[in-house]
Amino acid sequence: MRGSVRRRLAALAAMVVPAVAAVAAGSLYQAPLTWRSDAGDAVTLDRWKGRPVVLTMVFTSCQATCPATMAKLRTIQEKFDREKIDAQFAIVSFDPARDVPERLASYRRETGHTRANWTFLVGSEEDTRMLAMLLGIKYSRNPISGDIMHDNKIVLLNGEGEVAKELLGLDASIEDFR
Amino acid sequence: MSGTIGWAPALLLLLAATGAAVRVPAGEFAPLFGLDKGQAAFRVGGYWLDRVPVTRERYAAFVSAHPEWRRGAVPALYADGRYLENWDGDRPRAGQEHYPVTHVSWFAAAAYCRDRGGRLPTTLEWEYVAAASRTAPNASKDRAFTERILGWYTRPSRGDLGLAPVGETPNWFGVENLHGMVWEWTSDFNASFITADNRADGDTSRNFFCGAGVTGAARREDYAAFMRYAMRSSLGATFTLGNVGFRCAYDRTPEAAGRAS
Repeated sequence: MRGSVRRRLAALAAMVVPAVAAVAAGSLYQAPLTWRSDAGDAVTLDRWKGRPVVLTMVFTSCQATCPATMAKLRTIQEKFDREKIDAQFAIVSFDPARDVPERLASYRRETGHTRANWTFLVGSEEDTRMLAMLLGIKYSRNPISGDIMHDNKIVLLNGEGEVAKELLGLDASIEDFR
Repeated sequence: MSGTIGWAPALLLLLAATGAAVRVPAGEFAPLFGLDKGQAAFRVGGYWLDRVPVTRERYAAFVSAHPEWRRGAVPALYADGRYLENWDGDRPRAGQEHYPVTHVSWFAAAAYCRDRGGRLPTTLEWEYVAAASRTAPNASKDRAFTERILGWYTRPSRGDLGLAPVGETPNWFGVENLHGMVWEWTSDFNASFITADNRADGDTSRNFFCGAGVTGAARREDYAAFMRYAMRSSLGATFTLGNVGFRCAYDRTPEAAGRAS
């Protein structure tokens, strides 16, 4: 009897909750992921709700393609400046073990990525994997060398936190990326 | 004595009923993908692994305690439209309670394991245990063993028609149903092993991935393992397929955590 009441309540909740929460079904902002910024702040991605967010994943000791990914982000920023698009840029580390907030801060300084709308983020291994799954970004760490092999993907979230556009590979055209 | 059940089968039945996890001792293992040049093997082990895949009965208990994981309640972010499509409402179909749960996404599987105080095994952890035959810890070069697995891979999946209650003769580690029943989610199933392989083909593909010293497959003869890596790399985390289930791993004794799945 109690079970049946509970089931009915759950069914009722399922009908009511989506209407109350009004979160888009594909919104990343549903995922309870928490990050530390290069400034040391606790951050959830939904702090940028209502604005487009350019989101990618790199790691600071990456020698191969990450610098090229960062260059691509700068190109996108220049394009957005021309088109007067106010977007947040969020760069999430694949490498929580090494990319502590202090390391992200020095990377940001050394590479000159100092614009106020750019934020570097690092989270737990679990949240990092979860975000990569949500974005469809493949990566793996070599357990001996610590090297990380990963996709080069840049996504654009709309104001609701849904993936609106994605660029896979460094050659992908940014013409329609807005 | 005749007509009564012997103590050994009774113990096996008891173990089956408790659904215990198995301690996986540490060892060296050379996975098919992932080793860099100059690396012979990875250290792996020292965790606990569910003896059998998670059953529908156990997954139903999870759904009952966490209604956000009911069929119809899960947002598209976490599972595609076929989530638990082979259930009758919130319950597995009669007679299928001890079948491995299928039609679950990676997100659902990860949430289940987290709720049990565990996690999904890494691909390395899964492959380490799955390389064992009944008699040897690493049978990846045992042709009879790998051909038996390949025989299963070559048969088309028939969904629930091809399934049965979990449980079989355990392998060397004491783990069951790693082959021949369902494919299984791993925590890092989307590691870019396969794509890395064609990176040597040209500069264009190099732009897609990042990684310094990746080599190709370690054992070209282990085609069964290659099939698994290829299968995993074809999945997305929201996919819910009729032939993909999962089991959980634990970093401390599941008994200490109070529960094994």
